[in-house]
Amino acid sequence: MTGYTVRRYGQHHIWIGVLALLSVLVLAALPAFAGKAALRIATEMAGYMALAVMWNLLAGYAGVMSIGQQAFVGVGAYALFVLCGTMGLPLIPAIIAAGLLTTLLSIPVGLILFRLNGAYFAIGTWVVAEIFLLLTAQSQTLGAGAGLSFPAGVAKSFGTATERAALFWWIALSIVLLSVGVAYLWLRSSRGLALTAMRDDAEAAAGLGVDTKRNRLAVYLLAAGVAGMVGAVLFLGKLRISPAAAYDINEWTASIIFIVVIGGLGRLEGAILGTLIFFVLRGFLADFGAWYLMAMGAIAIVVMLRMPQGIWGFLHERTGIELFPMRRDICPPKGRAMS
Amino acid sequence: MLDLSDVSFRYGTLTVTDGVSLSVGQGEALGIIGPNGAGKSTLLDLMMGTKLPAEGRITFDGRDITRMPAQKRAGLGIARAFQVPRPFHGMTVFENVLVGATGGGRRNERASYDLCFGVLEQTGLIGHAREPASTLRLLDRKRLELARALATKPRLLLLDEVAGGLTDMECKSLIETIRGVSASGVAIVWIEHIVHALLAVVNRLCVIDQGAQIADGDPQEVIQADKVREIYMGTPA
Repeated sequence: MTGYTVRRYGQHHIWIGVLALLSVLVLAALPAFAGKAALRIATEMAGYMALAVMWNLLAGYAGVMSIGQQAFVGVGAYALFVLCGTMGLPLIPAIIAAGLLTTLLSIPVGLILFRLNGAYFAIGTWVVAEIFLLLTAQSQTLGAGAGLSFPAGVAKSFGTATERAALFWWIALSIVLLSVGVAYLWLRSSRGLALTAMRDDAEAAAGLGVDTKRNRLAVYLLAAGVAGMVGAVLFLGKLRISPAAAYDINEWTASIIFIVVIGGLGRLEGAILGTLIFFVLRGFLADFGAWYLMAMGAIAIVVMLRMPQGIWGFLHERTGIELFPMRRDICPPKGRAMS
Repeated sequence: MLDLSDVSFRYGTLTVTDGVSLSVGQGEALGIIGPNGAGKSTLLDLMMGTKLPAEGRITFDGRDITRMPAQKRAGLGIARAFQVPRPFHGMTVFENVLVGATGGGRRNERASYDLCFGVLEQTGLIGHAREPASTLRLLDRKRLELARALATKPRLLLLDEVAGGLTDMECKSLIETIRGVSASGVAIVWIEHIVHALLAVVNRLCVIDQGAQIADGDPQEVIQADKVREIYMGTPA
């Protein structure tokens, strides 16, 4: 025994925990006081946040630079339209099935793509997404290039428009809570530490026993599953799907990268803060047409130059605050000082 | 314990390691010297599994590990400290060591804490445990390389020019630490340009030139051998 101990929580984390619990309760009760339109935006936000948390896990921790997550968003969305819309599977099992399907699909895709390194891997992920788009557009059962509408009869069976909005919100909220929860527990554990080690130096990590291939694949599978479920619930809200929208790189990857980069790559809080900022900016700037995208690009560049760690990284460096405690505080035995 | 037989490695047509046969015994401290570009670091890469040989066979405790990747060899008890320290800069010193102690997340974290603190004390880093690894000075970074490797509880420790770039005083204190590791029964393979540092620890010396092994034996005898003097001092006119 050396007498040193490790503390995993700070004093303020009790309060943060209480606050987090309260916010989840408020969010769950949102349909009681928010209208249809607000619920739709909240649902969309939850979906983006789940994607951002996963992309952050991929790129910010595991060092997996995927620009093709739209492949799984699209497959998940189409899976739901077929399973629930056409084949009549109940909604919740259909969404879970969509997630399982994209997870399964990501195994062969991942095993092939992980043979590529660096930029080649990134391009490979994009190519896979484009292939999925082309295959979908070729399929008559999937409505070819025009896409599918969700059968009105099935949609009505979920209740009135307001009830549907509430239902979809609760599903999206569950998905984002699940994503954040899994990401947090993973990153906090020693397996998460191994993931961070890989990001910093994969070769050195492997020399210490970190199974880099398996970790990368595990994160990739999780991210694919979440992307599938997010695609399912977001396109369910739209009641309409087409290949161009389902496999849209701008919507499902570029925006997500923007969110993670301005929020703070490699910090769980960054993806959450980034999503909030993204939706506020979009709300203000959406009326300016093409200027909107240019303004977003300019903001991303300024943040990257002035705060390379993202906005949360910037705040964390100055205040030491962590919403999700990952720290390992070392307490020396009595009578010994630490620097 | 570790046996290389007729191991070769090539980059295209360039032979970097040329039919090297080498054994490291239990608890032995083997030093490897040789001029720049002789293929010393590649030899460590081959032992660790970061590079896989084109020909030849590598065994550890009689078990064939020729094609086994580095993370599996780490599990068997082989660890490495890099020439240029490569800390995980986004973590504290303690967390760096914890990566090794948990075997890359496979072993229980809380059960690994005491091993981490023990290794940090052994390497003189305990006072820096809380600091971000990126803020350490060179000597402490080198110590961290050592600490991280020791946290995997290796039976064979590969050291790649860990004494380079240190002042005499720093070098001495690092030698003391390495000697302690060696005395605790861990076998060491140490590549070093600073020959006096090496001679202070090793009990066997091997010389590599142009990928091939040209001498192997008692350190004092090897260093006096004509062939070795020739490589280092040149042929008298």
